[in-house]
Order: sequence, then C-alpha cells, then structure tokens
Amino acid sequence: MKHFIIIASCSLLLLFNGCGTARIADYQPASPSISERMAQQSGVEVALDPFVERARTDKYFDIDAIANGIAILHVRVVNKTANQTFLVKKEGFQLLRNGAGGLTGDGKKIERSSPAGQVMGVVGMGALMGLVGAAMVSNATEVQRNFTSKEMGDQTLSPDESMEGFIYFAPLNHGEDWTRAAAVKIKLAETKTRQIIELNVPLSQ
Amino acid sequence: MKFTRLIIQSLLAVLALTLAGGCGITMSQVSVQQSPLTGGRVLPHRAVLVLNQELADYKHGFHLVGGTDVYPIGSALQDYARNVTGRSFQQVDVVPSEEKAASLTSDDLILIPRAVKSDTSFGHGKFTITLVVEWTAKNRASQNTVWLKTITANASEKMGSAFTTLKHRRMLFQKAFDDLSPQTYKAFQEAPEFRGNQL
Repeated sequence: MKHFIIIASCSLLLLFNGCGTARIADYQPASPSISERMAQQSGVEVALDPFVERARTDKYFDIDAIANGIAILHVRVVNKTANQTFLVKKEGFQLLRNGAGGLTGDGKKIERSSPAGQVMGVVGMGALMGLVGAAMVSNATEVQRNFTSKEMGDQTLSPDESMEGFIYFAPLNHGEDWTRAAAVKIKLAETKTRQIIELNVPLSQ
Repeated sequence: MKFTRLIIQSLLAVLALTLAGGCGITMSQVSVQQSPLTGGRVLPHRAVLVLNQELADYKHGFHLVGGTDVYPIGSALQDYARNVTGRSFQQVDVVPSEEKAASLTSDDLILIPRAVKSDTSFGHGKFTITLVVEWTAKNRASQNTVWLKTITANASEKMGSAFTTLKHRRMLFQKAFDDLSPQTYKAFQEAPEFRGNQL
C-alpha cells in the first residue's frame, strides 16, 4: 500500500512537471524567406520576416502569437562595408503602425500626421511572460525560455559580419494582423563617428 | 472510501515531494568550476574588468510547480568573467565601477559584463537553462563603445528524483557556464577590434 502511494505520487509529480511538453523546434531560416522584406542603407542590409502564420509561431514558439497579442519578427542584419562597425541594439527597432511616423505601406513618406498611428518599441521576454497563455507550468516555462534563447542579442557588427535573431513587440490586439499598414524603423550607430543611420522597412506586401 | 483516502494521501505525498524539491527557497551561492580555455592567443590590450554590484547580486529564479527557488549566481559570474578575460588579454585589472575603470590610465580597454537574463524550463524529465550575458568593450580614453556582444548559453540536465534534484540543478549551472565560457573566449578571439594594438 505504502509503495503504491509513493509510486502514484511520483507519477502525479511527473505529470505536473509536464512530461508531455514537446521540445520546441530550432529556427533555421530559409534563405531568403518568401515573406522577408529588405532594405539597404550606407552598406547595411536589413531583412525582416514577420511571423504572422499560426503554423510557424506554433512550430518555433509553441504558441499562437497573433491570438496572444505578440508580434514576432525575425531580423537579419548584414554589414557590407569595408571598414565600418555598427552598433545594433533591439531598442533601435520601432514598429510603426497605421501610418505612424509618416510612412505609407510602401515606405514612402507622407506629410499628414496619422492620429491612429502607433509607435511601439521592442519588449523583452520579461514583459511577454504574462501574455503567454500556457496550460501547464512546465509548458509556460519552456515557452518563455524558448523566447529568451531565440531573442536577438545586442551587438556590434564588424565589416562583412552578419547577425540574426528574433525581436518581439507587445501587447497587440489579440487576433489582429499587426503587419497591415505597418513598417519598422531601424536606427544603427556607427561606432567610431557615432553617426546614426536610419532604415525604414515596410511590412505590408 | 478507501479510494478517496488513497487520493488524499497521494496528493499530500505530492505536496511533500514538491516542498522537498525546495520550492520558494533562496539557495546558497552557486559555485562553478571554470573551464580551461586554450588554443587562442593573448590579445595585445591592457584591459580593466568592471565587476559591479549588479553582477555580484545577480540571482536566477528557478520557476517550479510550487513556487520559485532563487539561486544567487553572482560569484559564479564574477569568476567566469575573471577567467575568460584573464586568458584572453595581456593584462587585466579588476575594479568595481566604470568610474574607477576610466581613471586607470595605464589600461586602454574597459570590459563590462552584464547578466541580461536567465530562464529555466522543465519537462521530459530534464531541466533546461538559458543564460544570456552581454559584454561591452569601451575605449578607455574616448569612452566609445568599440565592441559589444551578447552571448547566449544553453544547457540541459536531468531532473533527478525528489532526493537528488538539488544536486542536478547545481550540475545544470555548471553545464551552463561550460557553454558560456568557451563561447565568450571565442568571441574575444574573433573580434577584429581586439586584434591590433589600436582600438
């Protein structure tokens, strides 16, 4: 009887610990992805791939990101200059929605201001924690850890170097296509001169 | 009746096992053995390493079913920082703040490590940890950032039983630093900014 209780308890504990939690897939970007948008400025190339399809966010993040109000963006930056180094920080990426920042869907500047426009900065994983709906504690911890491990880290980019990773914007309206009439504004600093270069990448097709 | 009693006893046993796992407790400082780092060359810079209070106080939250266990890993992070810089640069002085570093005119490079975040997950009978550390290198004279790199270390370790889980969690930290140290060493070695005498 005693043994049975111990075995039952251990089994229950293992169940709570989430034996059913599947390992989330590593992301190997197809080069170039069909949904990728690119821009180039002063020898720096930026490619952005918004993750709006449920199948992809399920596979690589184990959540329906759109339904949870989280925007996931894959970023790839290439320094094609011969002798300049750039500082690439997540805080240099802004999501401009509904014409905010005077951008149209094709990236051309517009003169009128847009009252409905919205500028969003990147959020870290800590801020996303409460937004992720996961059924079990074990699953929630794995979803969060996976977001952290895939997040793009700040770094300097030397000549001929490239970097990639994911950045996140939240909170969004649940279920909303956040790429519609949206663009991403990117600011990078050259390390020697501290000169800022700006790129605008429209996300709408 | 007998069945209900069994269920209650089982749940109490689960509770006891969960508590035995150490949920919601602040643990003692984590200490790790530093990785032997070889194969690279000594970079021609006199560096000053900033080990500030923020790094010393860094704690990892181990989220579990019954709560969060807190593991102070500041000492391990400081030992790791001393190890990777000591094996990479010609000379390394250690100071507690950037202000102190700026005043050391004999050095040309300031190195600042920062623990950005860490997360653990559990499932399939194992713990997995992700530890993110950012390194900033500044030209001491100009205070310009010349190099910045974010290192993400990952490691897994089996969870063990209620009686061995604490030991396995310590092993998990060891594995995380075993991944972090060579990655950092490699990043220093490969940075073109550190190769020449001039920053």
